[in-house]
Amino acid sequence: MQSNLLLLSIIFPIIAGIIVLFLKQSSIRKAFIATSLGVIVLLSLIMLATLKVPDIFNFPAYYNGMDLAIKIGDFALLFYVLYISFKIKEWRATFFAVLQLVPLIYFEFFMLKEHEVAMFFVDELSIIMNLIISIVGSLIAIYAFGYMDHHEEEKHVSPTKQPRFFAIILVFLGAMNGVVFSNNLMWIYFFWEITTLSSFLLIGHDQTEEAIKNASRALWINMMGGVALLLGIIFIYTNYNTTSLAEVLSIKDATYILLPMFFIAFAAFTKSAQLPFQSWLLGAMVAPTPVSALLHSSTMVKAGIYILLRFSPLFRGTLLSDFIAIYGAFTFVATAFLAVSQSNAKRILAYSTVSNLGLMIASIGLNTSSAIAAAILLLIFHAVSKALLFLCVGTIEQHIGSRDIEDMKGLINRMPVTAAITFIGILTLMAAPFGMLVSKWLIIEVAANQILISIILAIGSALTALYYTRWIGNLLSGTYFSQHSEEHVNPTVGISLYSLTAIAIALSFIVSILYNMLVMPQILTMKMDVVLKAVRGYLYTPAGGFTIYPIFITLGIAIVLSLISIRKSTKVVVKTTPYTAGLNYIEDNGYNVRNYYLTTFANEGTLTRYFNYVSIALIAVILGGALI
Amino acid sequence: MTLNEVVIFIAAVVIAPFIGGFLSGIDRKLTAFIQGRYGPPIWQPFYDVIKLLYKQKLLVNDFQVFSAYMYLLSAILSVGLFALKADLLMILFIMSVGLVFYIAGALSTKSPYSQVGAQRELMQMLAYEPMLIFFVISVYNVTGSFNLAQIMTHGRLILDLPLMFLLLGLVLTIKLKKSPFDLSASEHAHQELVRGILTDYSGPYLALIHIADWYEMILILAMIAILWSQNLVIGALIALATFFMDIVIDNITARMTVKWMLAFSWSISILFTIINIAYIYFRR
Amino acid sequence: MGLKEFIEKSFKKSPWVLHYNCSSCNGCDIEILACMTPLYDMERFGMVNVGNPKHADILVVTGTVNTRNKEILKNIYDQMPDPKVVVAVGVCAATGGVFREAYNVIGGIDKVIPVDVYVPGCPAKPEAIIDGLYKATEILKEKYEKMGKAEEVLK
Repeated sequence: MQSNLLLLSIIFPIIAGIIVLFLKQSSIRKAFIATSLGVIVLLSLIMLATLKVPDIFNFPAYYNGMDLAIKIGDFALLFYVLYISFKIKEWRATFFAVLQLVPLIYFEFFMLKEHEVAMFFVDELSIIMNLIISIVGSLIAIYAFGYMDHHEEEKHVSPTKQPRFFAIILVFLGAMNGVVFSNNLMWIYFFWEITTLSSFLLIGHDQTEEAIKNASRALWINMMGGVALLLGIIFIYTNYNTTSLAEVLSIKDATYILLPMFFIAFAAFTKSAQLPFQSWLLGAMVAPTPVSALLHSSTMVKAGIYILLRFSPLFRGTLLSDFIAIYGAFTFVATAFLAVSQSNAKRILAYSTVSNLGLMIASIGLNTSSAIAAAILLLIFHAVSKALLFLCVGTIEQHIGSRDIEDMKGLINRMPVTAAITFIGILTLMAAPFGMLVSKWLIIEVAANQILISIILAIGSALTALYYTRWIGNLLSGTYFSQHSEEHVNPTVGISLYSLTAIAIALSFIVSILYNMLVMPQILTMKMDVVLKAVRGYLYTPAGGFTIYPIFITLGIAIVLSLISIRKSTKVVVKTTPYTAGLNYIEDNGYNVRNYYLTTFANEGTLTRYFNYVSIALIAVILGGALI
Repeated sequence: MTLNEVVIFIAAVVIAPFIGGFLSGIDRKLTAFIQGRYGPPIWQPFYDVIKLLYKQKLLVNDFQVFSAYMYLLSAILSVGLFALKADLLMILFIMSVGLVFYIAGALSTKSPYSQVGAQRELMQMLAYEPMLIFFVISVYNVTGSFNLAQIMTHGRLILDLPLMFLLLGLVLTIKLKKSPFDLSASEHAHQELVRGILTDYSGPYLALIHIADWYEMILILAMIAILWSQNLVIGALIALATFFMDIVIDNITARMTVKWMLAFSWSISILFTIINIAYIYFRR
Repeated sequence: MGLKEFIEKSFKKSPWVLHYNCSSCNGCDIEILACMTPLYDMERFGMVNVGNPKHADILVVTGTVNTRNKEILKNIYDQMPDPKVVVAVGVCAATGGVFREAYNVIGGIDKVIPVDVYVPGCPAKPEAIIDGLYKATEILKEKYEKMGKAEEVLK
């Protein structure tokens, strides 16, 4: 029964995706997609409620069929990539595809002895990932209904390419479930490559020259990651004779594990777009916004984090782990610097995504039980809030025709609903008492005896506050004399924005329940002592504690007081203009001041070059750590 | 929370602004003395704040009200939690929430003066926020805890953290917007930005911000005081000495640029932190 | 001392002064700045020179009003929160002085905004200015009392 559920959660979205391809009529298609998404969410909730984890699930009747299908799929996929790379003349992708093909043929036909491994390995981490994929993913797909109609209207796309778009999205959801549930490493590899391919197809969805260029970059960088993953798996197999995740995780003799771990970490870095691979994620911002929200902030890039978290017990306490922590911390601060220099909202979000993923990698590298807890908490909160923000930017862009934060001045008057939601979204990403900041607090406390990392984290979090605060300021700017206009929110866009906002706030509010229910069992599964405890909104370790409800109460009091103050004073208050040295104030004149972007400090071009050199050196250091 | 804790929380929250106001009164008197003037009465800051509280409300937009309240309340909460000896890092984070609203409120009015002031305040935040976290991290490296209750059992932290003490003095200068870091609100007669970040906050809301500033000043002075927690009277004296030192620095220096401030504070703070932590391990 | 008295006293003890030069010849302005020097030190009465009408209680105006800066003077006056007092320093601000017949001059500032205290002189002496400002603080206090009553009526 339960393996059925697991199998269904992978196969169902893929089949639904294929069916969508043939549904030409818009309303039927939308109804079908909405139903399928409902089923996906339902499946994940049922699994959350019924699955006894951690456990291995097997379903021998289907094993051989599945395994064969995946083997054939592997080759089909690689040949398809070869075909694409010839078509778009992206020889690097060809190179890496061949580089995968050769070891794969060797491995599959000459090395791999027939042995059956269990189909699924599920623990709390898989459940968490599945919940994110299903719930956040479905909400984003719902959002895409309204968004894509508008998008195609704007770009004059005819005939509609929506069947293809939603088909890929659904297949992607299935593949992500495959990555997080599979026990056979070769299956993980297969689903991993499917996510790469769907990312490529979705980035290139608009078929403009720029889109194809950026899509091909994403393709070859992720194919490189695929090579690393495959090599990692082969190395594991040569040393330990198994491709079963559960068996790998229970390896006692970890002498030969570090080199494959390096390769897997490398694959994770490419997938999570860490420096120096961040360029593909930035390029991916040409894709329609739902794609950026789904693949490039909340789920696909988290696959890298997932795989690293999954294998983290194997390199706990090694030099490799320390170096990964330094590398992650460096990415965190470097991309935060780059984000400071940006005024394009989507690029800010892209850089801050890379930055937060770096933070997660840093805390995985720290590899203590609280650090892992912090990484998982970050993973959850970041997925929800960042998806929300991307969707907000998408909505804003469709209304005002710009994604520059300078053009978002006074948005609260033009698009009150979306601007308010964006404001809340940013708050949940940067301010106490929301989950992201609690996790950041935890990481800084965990890292406090690693002086280099903690210095980097302190600077990085100040930079994060900088680029978000000025965005808030821009969104909310306005006077009583500004032109106010009503905003009509598209119903499907509205549904997903409201529910994501509600989820983001609610998750922060119940952080202790979340921790006790999902994160703490995972720590136990990974055979670590639980250091961090949580009781009624109070998270504490022996070294310190963070309590969230007083801050929520403060926020509440501030809201109530200001409402009273505004209401009570409506009689005596004077609505005045901003001070402009006595000149007559005219709305929309040249008084607006641009933000400081520190371009002399943080010039994107030069900084990127230097950061890339440093990060390549750091990866070399990580390799050194693996070899020693 | 026990009854005892509630009493401590309320006592701290009630007393702190009085001390803060009194200290800024001394500040003004002392500044006048250094400049060879007679100066205002020592209670002047209270007259100012009370007057502002009862002036007419003059608003540019509704968000201003919320940000002023949020700034004040988060400052109150952080002082209260400090008195309850909670987690030091959490207190810093709570303080920075208020600051975010304060800056966003100033950015939200369309006055160019207020916006430039807010941008500069952001830069000031960028300069001192890491320093405060460095301080907390160094304290952890000495005491092995972030909880004030445990930190304060360590008696004479200043002997372990001499450079961090200097850094806190620097933070105090930046936080109080004293020269050479009076960038964001142009204190005294240097009014090229009018009143910078405070330009569009007026009347009662300006008063709220002044009170919040007192709370934050007390918070940082308290952080200095716990460096000698063996005897808090000595700790308080050290804090006062730092405060007077800042007033003197305020009067003998000219304002520097934002860039200089960032470069100076970052390089000094990273250097001091590393040397100080090396020193801790050396002393062991 | 009750709270009410303390508030009234605060209004008297803490007048923040905004100085606006309304096309003056700078004679009076120099004298106003002289009030802040150690010799006269107007801060001993709690008076602070602020650059922002939104923080100010007393508007000190020098010079005549002309058609060009009439609007600005009015805007600045409007941006000051109640209670507020206007002090006209110098003959020009009071009546237009020697410029009153000029083609662009409207006259004293009381043609544009209500003036509470006139400080005579060309230029006005610092002692006279401080005296005028001190008178203004008393008017400020009275205005606050009246404002309170007005609010009660509104309720």
